[in-house]
Amino acid sequence: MGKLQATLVFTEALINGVLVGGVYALVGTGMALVFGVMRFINLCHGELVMVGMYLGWGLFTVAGVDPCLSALICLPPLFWAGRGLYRLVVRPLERSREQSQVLLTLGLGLVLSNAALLIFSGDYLAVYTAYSDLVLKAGPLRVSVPYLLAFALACVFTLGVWAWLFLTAAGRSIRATAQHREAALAAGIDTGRVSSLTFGLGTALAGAAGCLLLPVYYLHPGIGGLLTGKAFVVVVLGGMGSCVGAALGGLLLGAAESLGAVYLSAAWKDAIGLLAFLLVLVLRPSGLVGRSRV
Amino acid sequence: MGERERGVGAHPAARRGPPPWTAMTGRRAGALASKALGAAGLALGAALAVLPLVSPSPYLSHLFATFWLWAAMSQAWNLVGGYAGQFSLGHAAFFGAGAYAAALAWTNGLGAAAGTALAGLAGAVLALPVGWLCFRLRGAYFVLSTLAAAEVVRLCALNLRGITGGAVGILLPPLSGGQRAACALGLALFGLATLTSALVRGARLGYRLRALREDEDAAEAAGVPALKSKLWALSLSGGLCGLAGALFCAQTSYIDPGSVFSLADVSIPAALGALLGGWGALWGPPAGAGGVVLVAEAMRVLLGRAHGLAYGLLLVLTVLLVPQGFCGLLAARRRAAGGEAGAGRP
Amino acid sequence: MLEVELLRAGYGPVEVVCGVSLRVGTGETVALVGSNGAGKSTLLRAVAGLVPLIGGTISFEGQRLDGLPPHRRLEMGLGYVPEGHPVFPFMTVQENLELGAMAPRARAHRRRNLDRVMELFPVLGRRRRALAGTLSGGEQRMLAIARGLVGEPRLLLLDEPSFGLAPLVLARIYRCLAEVGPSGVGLLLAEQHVARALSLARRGYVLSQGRVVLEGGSEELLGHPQVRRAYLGL
Repeated sequence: MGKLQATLVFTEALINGVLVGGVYALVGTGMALVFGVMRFINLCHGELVMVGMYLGWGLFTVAGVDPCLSALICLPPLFWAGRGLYRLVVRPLERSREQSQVLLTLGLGLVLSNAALLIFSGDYLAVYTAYSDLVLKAGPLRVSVPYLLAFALACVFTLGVWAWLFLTAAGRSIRATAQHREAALAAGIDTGRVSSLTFGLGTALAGAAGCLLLPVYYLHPGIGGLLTGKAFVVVVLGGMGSCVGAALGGLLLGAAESLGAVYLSAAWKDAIGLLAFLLVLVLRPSGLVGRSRV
Repeated sequence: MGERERGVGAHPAARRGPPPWTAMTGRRAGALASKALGAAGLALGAALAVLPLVSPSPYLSHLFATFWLWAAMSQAWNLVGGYAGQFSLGHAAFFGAGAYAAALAWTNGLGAAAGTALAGLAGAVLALPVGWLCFRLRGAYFVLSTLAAAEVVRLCALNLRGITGGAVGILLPPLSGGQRAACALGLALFGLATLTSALVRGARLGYRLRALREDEDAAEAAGVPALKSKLWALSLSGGLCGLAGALFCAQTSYIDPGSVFSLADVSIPAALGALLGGWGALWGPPAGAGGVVLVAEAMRVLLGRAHGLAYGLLLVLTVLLVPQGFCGLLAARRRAAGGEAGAGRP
Repeated sequence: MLEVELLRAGYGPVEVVCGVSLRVGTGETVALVGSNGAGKSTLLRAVAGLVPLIGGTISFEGQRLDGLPPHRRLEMGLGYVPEGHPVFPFMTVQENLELGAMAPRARAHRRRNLDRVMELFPVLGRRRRALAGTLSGGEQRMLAIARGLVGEPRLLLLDEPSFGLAPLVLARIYRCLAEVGPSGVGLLLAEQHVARALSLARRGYVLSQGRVVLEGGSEELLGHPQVRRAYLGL
C-alpha cells in the first residue's frame, strides 16, 4: 500500500509538472525565436508575459472572458505592440553589444512592471472560473482541469507556431534568417522585416502564455522577473535558439520543479531550474537537445 | 605659472613657431584646462567629502552615505566589468552575502570590526565558486550565468530560514553615530575601493585583465592565466562588495533577501556607475555612480510612486541615445577635437 | 551594367576599400583578383549592400544603389553569393533553392529556373531531399551558386567560389560557371586563385590593399610581370 501511494504521488507530481511545463514551453518558444533569429537577449520577456496576464485578468474581470479565449484575443494586439516595440527601441540596438541589449531590456522590464504597479497596485490577483476547482479523476489519479486546459492550449499554440514556421513563406524566411543570416540577405530576404515579425510573434506568444498561466500563478507586478528567469532556463535547457529544444526544455523544467516541490520542498522549486540552468550552461552549452536551430 | 611654463616647453609646435599666446588654443589649452579642472574637481570633492561630516543635516549625510556606498560599489564592479571586460549582473550576490554575514555576526554578539571583516571575507570567498562557474562562459552566456548565480544565492538566503530568518529579514540596532557615522564609513570604504582599483590598475593583474579584455585568446596564447586573473579580480571585487553590504546593513539597520540580493536595486546600479562613467579612468565609475544616485534620489523626491517607471525609462533612453556611456561620448568628442587640432598644425 | 566609382567602404573606423572604380558590362564575366585581405570581399559586400559605404557611388543599369537594402538590389537583378558555405543547413536542398527564387522578379519562372540549375548541377537534383547541412563542402558551394542563379540575376557577384575546395571539385564548379556566362548573366568573380579566375574572365582587376593596382584583358594580366611574380609564382 505504501509503495502504491508513493507511486501515485510521483505520477501526480510528474503529470502536474508536465502540464505546467507545456505553458513554460510556450513562454520559452517566444524567447527562443527572438534569440535564434535576432541573436537578441530579451530580458523583459517575462514582463511581456505579465502584460498578457494583466490583459487576461482585465478581460475576465470586466467582461467575464475566459482566460483561454483571452489567449487568442490578445494575440493580434500584442503582435502589433511587439512590432511597435521593435521599431521603436529594439531595432537601433539589434546588432549592438550584449551589454546594451541587456540594459535596454532590463530598463523596458522596469518600465512595464512599474507601470503595472502604478495601474494595478501591488496586490496579488487571481482568476476564478467555474472550472477552477474541477478535478478530473482517472482511477486513483487526480488531475486539475484548468491545468489540463492550459496545457492543451499551450500545445495547440506551440504546434501552430511550428506549422506556421515550416509551412508559410514568412515562416520559412524566419527560419532561413536564423540558420544563416548572410545567406538570407543574399537570397533576397528582408531581414529587417523578419526581425520585426519575429519580435512581434515572440511578444504575442508571451502574451498568450500569460493568459494560460493565470490559473497557475497569482498575478502581481513583480512576477515578470521570475518568468524571465524561467524562460531563460527553458531556452538554455533546449539549446539557445531552438524551438523544439524550448518545448522539451519547458516540459523538463515543469517536471523538475514539480518533482522538486514534492520531494525537496516547495520553497526550493525556483532554485532547481536555476541550478539546472547553470549546470547546462557550463557542462553542455549547446543544450540538452543539440543545435538544430528553429 | 609653473604649470604653464612646463606646458610651453613641452609643446614642440609652440616652441617652434607662433608666440605663446596664439598657441594657447587647441590641445595645449585643453590640457591646461583639464588640469585646472582636475584640481578644481579635487578641491570640490574634498569639500564635498568633509561637508556632510560636519553638516547637521541627517538628510545630507544620508545622501552622501548612499553616494559613497554606490561609488565604492561601482569601483568594485569596475575591477571585473571594466578592467577585465566581464559584464557581471550578479554583484548583488556578494553585496548580499556581505550584508548577511555582517548582520549575523552582529546579532550574534561579534564586534563591529569582526563583523565587517567577516562581511568582506564572505564576499571574497563567494566570488570564487561563482567565478569558477561563470568564467567558463563568454558574452551573453556569461551575463546570464552571473544573473542566475545571484538568483541562486538569493533563494538560498530566502529558504535557509534557520540561519537567515528567511523572508522576514534581520532587524539590527541602529548605527551609533547615525547617518554621519555611515557617511564617514562610506567615505572610508570608497577610499579603500579606489585605492584597490588604483593598485590593480598599475599592478601586473591590471595589465593581465586589460589584455584579457582586449582579446582573450591572444592574451591566453601570450601566457596570461585567464581564469586565475579573473578569479583574483572577482574575489577582490566581491570582497569590496561584501564590505559595502555590511555598510548598507549598518546604515539601514534592516535587511531582507529581496533588498540586498536585488537585481534592479543592487546589481544594475553597481554596473551602471561604471558603464555611464566609463571604465578607463579612476574617477569614471564614481562619477557615474554619483549621477545615478542623484537622479534616483531626485526622482524619488519629485515623482514619488512613479520613480521606478521613470528610472526604467531613463535607462532605456540612456542606452538608446548614449550607447557608449557618457565617458565614451566625452572620449569621442575629445578625439574629434584632437583630430581637428592635429589637422590644423603645419 | 555595373559602375562603381571611387568606392570607399570598411568596418567601423577601418577603411578596407579605399577608392575603387570598376565596371562590368552586360553579360560580361569580370575577375577581381588579389591576395587575402586585399579588400575583394568587402568590395563585393558593399556592392551587395551588406556593408555601408564611406564614400563613392555604385550604379546598376543606370540607377544609383546608395542605401538600398540587399533584398531591393536582388529585385533589380543584382545577385550575390557570399564566401564560405552560405546555405541554410537545416533546410533541404529544394527549400534552399526555392528561397532563392522568392524574389518577385524570379517567382514567375520558378519551375523553369529550378530545373535549369538542377541540370547545371546534377548532384543537387539527385540530393534535393537532403538537408543542406549534410552536403559536402563543394556541394554546398554549388548549392549557394545555384541559389544565386534561380533569383534570375542579370549580374551575379561571386565571393571566392574556389576557396578551400579540392582541385577536382573546383574544376567542376568552374566548368559550370563557364556555362553560365553565355546565358547572358554577368559575373563579377572575386578570387585568390588568380590563374583560374583570369582564364574564365575576359577582363580583370587586380586589387591590393584596397586599391586597383592593375586592370586589363585577361591575357594581358596573365602576361604582366608583376602578376606573374606576385600571384602566379613565376
